[in-house]
Amino acid sequence: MPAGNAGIGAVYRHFGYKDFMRHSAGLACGLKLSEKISAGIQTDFFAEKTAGDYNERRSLTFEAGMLITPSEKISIGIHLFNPVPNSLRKNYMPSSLRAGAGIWLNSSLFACAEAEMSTGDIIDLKAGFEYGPSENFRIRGGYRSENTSFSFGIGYLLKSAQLDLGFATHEMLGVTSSASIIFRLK
Amino acid sequence: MKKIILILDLILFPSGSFSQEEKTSEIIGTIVEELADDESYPEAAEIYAEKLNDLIEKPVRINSADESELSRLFFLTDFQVKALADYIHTTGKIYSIYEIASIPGFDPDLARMVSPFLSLNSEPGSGSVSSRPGSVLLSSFSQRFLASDTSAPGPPWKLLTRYKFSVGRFSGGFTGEKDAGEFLLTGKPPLPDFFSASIAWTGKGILRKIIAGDFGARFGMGTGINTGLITGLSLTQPGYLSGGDEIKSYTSTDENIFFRGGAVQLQAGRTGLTFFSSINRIDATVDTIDNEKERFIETFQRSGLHNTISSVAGKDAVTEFCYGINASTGFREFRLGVLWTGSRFSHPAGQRDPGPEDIFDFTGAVNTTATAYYKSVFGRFLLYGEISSNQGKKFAFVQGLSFRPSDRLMMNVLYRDYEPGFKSFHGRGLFSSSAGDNIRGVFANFTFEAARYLFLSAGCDLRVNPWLKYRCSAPSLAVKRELRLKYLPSDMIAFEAVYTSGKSALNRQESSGVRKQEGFKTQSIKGIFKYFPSDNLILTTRLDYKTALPDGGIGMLVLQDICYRFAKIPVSVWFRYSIFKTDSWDSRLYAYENDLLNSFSIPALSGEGSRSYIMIAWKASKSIDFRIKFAITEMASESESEKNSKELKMQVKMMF
Repeated sequence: MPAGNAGIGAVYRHFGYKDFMRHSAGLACGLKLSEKISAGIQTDFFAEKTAGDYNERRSLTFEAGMLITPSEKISIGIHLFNPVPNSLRKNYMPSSLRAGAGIWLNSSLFACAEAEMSTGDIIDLKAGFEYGPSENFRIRGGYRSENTSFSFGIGYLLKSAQLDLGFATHEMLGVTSSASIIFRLK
Repeated sequence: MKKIILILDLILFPSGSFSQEEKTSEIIGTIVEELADDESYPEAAEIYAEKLNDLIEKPVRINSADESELSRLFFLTDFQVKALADYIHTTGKIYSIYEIASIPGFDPDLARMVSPFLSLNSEPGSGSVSSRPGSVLLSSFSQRFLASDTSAPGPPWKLLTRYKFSVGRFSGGFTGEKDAGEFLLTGKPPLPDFFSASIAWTGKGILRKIIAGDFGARFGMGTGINTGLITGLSLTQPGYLSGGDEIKSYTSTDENIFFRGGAVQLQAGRTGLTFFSSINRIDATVDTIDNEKERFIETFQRSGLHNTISSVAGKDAVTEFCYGINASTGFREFRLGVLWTGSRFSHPAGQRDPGPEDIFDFTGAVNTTATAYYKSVFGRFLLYGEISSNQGKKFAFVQGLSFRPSDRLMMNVLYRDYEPGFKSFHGRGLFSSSAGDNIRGVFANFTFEAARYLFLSAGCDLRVNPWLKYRCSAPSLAVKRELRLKYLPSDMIAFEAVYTSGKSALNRQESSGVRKQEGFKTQSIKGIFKYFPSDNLILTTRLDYKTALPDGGIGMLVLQDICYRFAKIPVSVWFRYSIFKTDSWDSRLYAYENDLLNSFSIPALSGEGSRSYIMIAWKASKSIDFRIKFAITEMASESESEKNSKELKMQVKMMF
């Protein structure tokens, strides 16, 4: 939602059932710092409830990101989640750092790569592309080093609705498929 | 021609972009990381940082400097120093940094790196002598808050105060330091645990320099005397630092290597004569035999830390009398010198029950060393060498060759042989071991501008330890290789990839009796992406991956640096967040950190966790700078919580 020079947003997620529930909510604010640099910050609240004698776990943290566009064709992104020291809270919460870049190799082909690492986890390298053979149609492909996962997807833009279909492989779980519809309100 | 260069300068180097504090810090970080890229000498980074900060305080005035003054830019090669001197001699004054980029042997990146240490003003007189009186007072406080108790006798904080002044041809100052766990004031009269002071006079005639108090020195390749920079740490650097013989007021905090007394340097034309004498008390573990009638030095303590019962007992336990005389001369492109130096200790050194690895350790109370060295530049070749011998007829021999077949290619080869038993208590030769002896090997590297904006350098060091060494009970062989690729497509973007591999032999842990050895191998790859989106913002992303054998451990690191200078207030902020995961201590990773002025931090990262810091620099006025840094290391697992630490550092620098 535009708010002066900035943009604000809110997010709420729910997962689980009555014996195990996870909620998360966030308030975000983004700002264009200069012609080439945009930055955003989001406060996050996480809650996890488990049936029985287990305590309900709640955590408050924040995440921040920066998007840099040195030229029309190149964009560089950095994202940091939970840089808050765990000594300041009761429950341990991992942190993560992501950095990546994308480039329009020509008018219809976009390629990108990203490195991500979370505390206690190994580096996850990702690379992908999006190819647009026509104005409304997109083909996507990618690779992720974690679980040696390959992915493939297609997208179609239908007026204000965007339809996406994706498939991702997993070493143990096989193929996971997903579908989404995004409506853009003008 | 000069007009064209000036126009190009305005296009390629936006005005003011070279005078910013954060870029300078970044440049110092880059140089230090390249020169001291070795984990076995963490203190080397601090020495480099201090020397570079000295250069910022007193930049080289290139337009009025001679070759010896230009060689204060110690990170340049002799070829680059000579090319710079020749350019000024033939073309005249240098008006812009871009002109330097056009000199053979330089490129825009090197010109950018050199720029903070240069002044284009050509004030009369020698470049290194300030005509205006000035003083610099720098005081730093730091404390680490560890999860575990160190039980040291003194308070857990560290304090460093350094004062320097220069009035005309006189300069001097003092350094006082208290390390963590040491008492602040000790002795009579009460002084900081380490206190050093000196006064120097610099002349232009025959009498070139006189120093009274604490001083350091370097002659030739350093096998006889070198109290300063350790060379040969990075495999893609020349392995030989330019610069001539020097005596210098001591401002470092290594508490046992410097001289305390007086030194005089004479110079007539290209012939120089230096003599010095020193009486200093140094740290050592002293033992007794025959009911305390005879005392002898069991080990020399080098750490300078006095925060345990044994290290406090060893503080200033031995008196060292040291003397030396050095003569050097040059004709045309040839320079040679000789050095005679000796040390005499108040107690003899020896061991009550020496093991096989101690056979070549120094024994007795007197050590004298004779050294001869030369250096010659002819055409595209630089040839240099040195031989030293002590009274036990043990030798140190160094011979090197640098060759620049074209402006885009530079090659170096160096052979050194530090015989077991060779000892020079104030020497640090090229590619020597930390003990100074028991190493023989060949080092070679090249730097090549493979294409426009693309620089490739590679180096290999093959060394043999002819006798036993620490953690290796047999003669052994070690190899180290490094490959470095730099891509600098514009002034705003820099990409660097570094591959290193190392192999050495160490005792097998489970073996007993005559111990067996096994190969210890590490391989690492590092990618660094630097981006300067605007004049006041620098972003650095780095990825590290390392493997170690025989334990098979893997180490990984992702790091993000943000450096931002506010436009409206004189404040700069450095922020780093890094996440690491290593399977073992052998696969640990090191990441250099920006730190307080004249200081550097290189934490060893092992286990699973994160390391972050924020540092704020505030230029309160033209003469006062403040810096504050707060760093946190936090482990992901509770079982490693003893490695958690917090660190606070504060600094004030005043110039008046």
